[in-house]
Amino acid sequence: MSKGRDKLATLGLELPMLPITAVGSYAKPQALTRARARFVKGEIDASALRAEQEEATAMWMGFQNEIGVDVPVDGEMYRTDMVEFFAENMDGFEIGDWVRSYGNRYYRKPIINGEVRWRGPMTVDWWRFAQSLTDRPVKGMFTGGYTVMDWTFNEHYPDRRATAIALAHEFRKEVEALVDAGCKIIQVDEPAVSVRADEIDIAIEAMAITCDGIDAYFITHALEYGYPQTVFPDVLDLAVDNFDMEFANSDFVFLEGLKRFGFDKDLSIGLVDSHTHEIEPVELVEERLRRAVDILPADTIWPDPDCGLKTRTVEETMAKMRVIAEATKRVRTDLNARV
Amino acid sequence: MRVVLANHSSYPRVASAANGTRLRRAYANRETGKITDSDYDEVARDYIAEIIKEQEDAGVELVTDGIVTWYDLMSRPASRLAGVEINGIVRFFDTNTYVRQPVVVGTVEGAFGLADDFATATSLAATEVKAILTGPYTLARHSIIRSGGDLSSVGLAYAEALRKELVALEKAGARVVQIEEPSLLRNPDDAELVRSLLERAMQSKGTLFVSLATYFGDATTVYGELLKMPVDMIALDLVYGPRLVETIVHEGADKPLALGLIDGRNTKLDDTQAVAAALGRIAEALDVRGVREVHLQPSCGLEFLPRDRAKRKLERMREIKDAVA
Repeated sequence: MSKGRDKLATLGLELPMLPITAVGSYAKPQALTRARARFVKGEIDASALRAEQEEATAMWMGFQNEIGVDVPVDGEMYRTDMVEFFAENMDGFEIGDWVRSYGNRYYRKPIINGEVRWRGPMTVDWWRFAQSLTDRPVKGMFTGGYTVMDWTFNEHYPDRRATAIALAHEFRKEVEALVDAGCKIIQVDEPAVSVRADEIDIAIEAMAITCDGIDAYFITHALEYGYPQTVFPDVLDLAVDNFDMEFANSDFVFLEGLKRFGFDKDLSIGLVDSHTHEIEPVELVEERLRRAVDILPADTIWPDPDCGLKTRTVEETMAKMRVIAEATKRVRTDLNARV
Repeated sequence: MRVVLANHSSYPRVASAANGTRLRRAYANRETGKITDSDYDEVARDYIAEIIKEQEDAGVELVTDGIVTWYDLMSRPASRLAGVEINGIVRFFDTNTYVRQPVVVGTVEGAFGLADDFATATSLAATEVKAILTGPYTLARHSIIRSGGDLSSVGLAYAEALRKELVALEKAGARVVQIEEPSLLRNPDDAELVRSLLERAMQSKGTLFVSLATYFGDATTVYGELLKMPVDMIALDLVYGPRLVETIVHEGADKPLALGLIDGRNTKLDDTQAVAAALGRIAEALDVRGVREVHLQPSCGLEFLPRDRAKRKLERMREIKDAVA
């Protein structure tokens, strides 16, 4: 049994072979998008917006139950952006003006202008709400200290390390709050760690501050659209049980590399591209998953998309998740037949 | 010593001011077929006129069009070339931005097709416009090569495209060109390859004044190699590599430098006196070597900042120049 399966067992969790999950975000239904716009204009109040967010979350929970997602996510219907949401809910930030992400996508990049401070649980209520709608273990999720540091402007702390470490200490309180609420699988999103090999020690230190010694199974969504080969093998020192990595967008070129670097964690493997409109054929996704199973131990692999699916439409999101679910069932059936 | 205030390259595409999102909206409307290419071009022209004026009002003497119509630094020039397709996204260095990767599937031919963009920008400017081009090495480093070639051969093909582009730009009236080669700092051992690629491109340099820009890394270890590059000016990121100031002061330079002393990645305004002191020391060291001009500019393109902050950074450059004077 893999180290990850052992850890899950100690937490009382028994997952099927190739547990299906998602990275975090799903497309927001149009009704919610409209409600958010009306809320910004002051046309509806926070409770009306909350009702729309709950309805959308419930819709995605129902969908995941239907297609058999083993470790579902709340879909982040309450979030604006993966950094902005936390900046809005912690002290020490102001929300900056728009900057471009790519193509025609923009986000409000926060500015750290004071001591960062955790005011109280930010994701726990939503985790509880989602968990109340399923018997399966819902993943708790938040953005880690290194990435929040990297994706904000800093006008307060003396340098990047000091900023990341201060944030990491505050995010540990969010982890503790999630665990207190009953969450056993927690994902720390750190997509920024794969682009600055010279700072991997900061990311490792920050993750340890946030997660070390806490009784949960940790995943990090840390290696997407970057240069994973530049941070291996050092990145394996991140204090987590599972790496969530993008593979479909980069044509699975790094899959063999994982083995070469002595990868010994569980792998949430991106099987579909999150940034294309095209829906991959089930056969293609099945073939991708079979390749992974041939290279790495099957009991370490968690099928999922490359990244969050918030940039897709609801229909595209559902179609991509269905493809993953169907391909996984086919491979899982074969694996079970072999046992 | 003449200190020229220059913009680096890119500039924000949205602003919080009234009508500040018109370019973004026009882009989306063109994508969905609600407006035509020509409608989009009209909005883009209007936006470029506005940001050029903003640079000029801030005191910038060498402006850019902000490359605001480029999808990104890779796919825009590469998409005009035969033998190249455009693939999925990859993160652009350590920024939270992404570029679409060129895929080399055949023989690379043609030019980048940017001369018309330059002509538009220069018609809208009262000051000199700097043309921006992606360097062949950085393009090759970001490419997926499926044609059977390698980094060197694909780089050479891009260098040939760059050579043709320089001809077209000179014909369009350009005088100053900046070639972006940030990838060199990630792979300093490839300095010799970069030099050979640039030698090919510079065969048709003509009367152009060409600057080679590196950023998103510390150029201290390759500073000597950069000075050997077959270009007229070296643009340096002195925020990412602050120790480079001492290297320049001690080793000097035999050609003008564009000094990226203004932090293009952070909203915090740069300290006027500290930057002025660094600029003054470098200017003095270069003057001894007979160099009579430096450019003061941001460390990288300003598209990573909100527009109001980008504008303040440019204004701060003028304050620094005044402090040096």
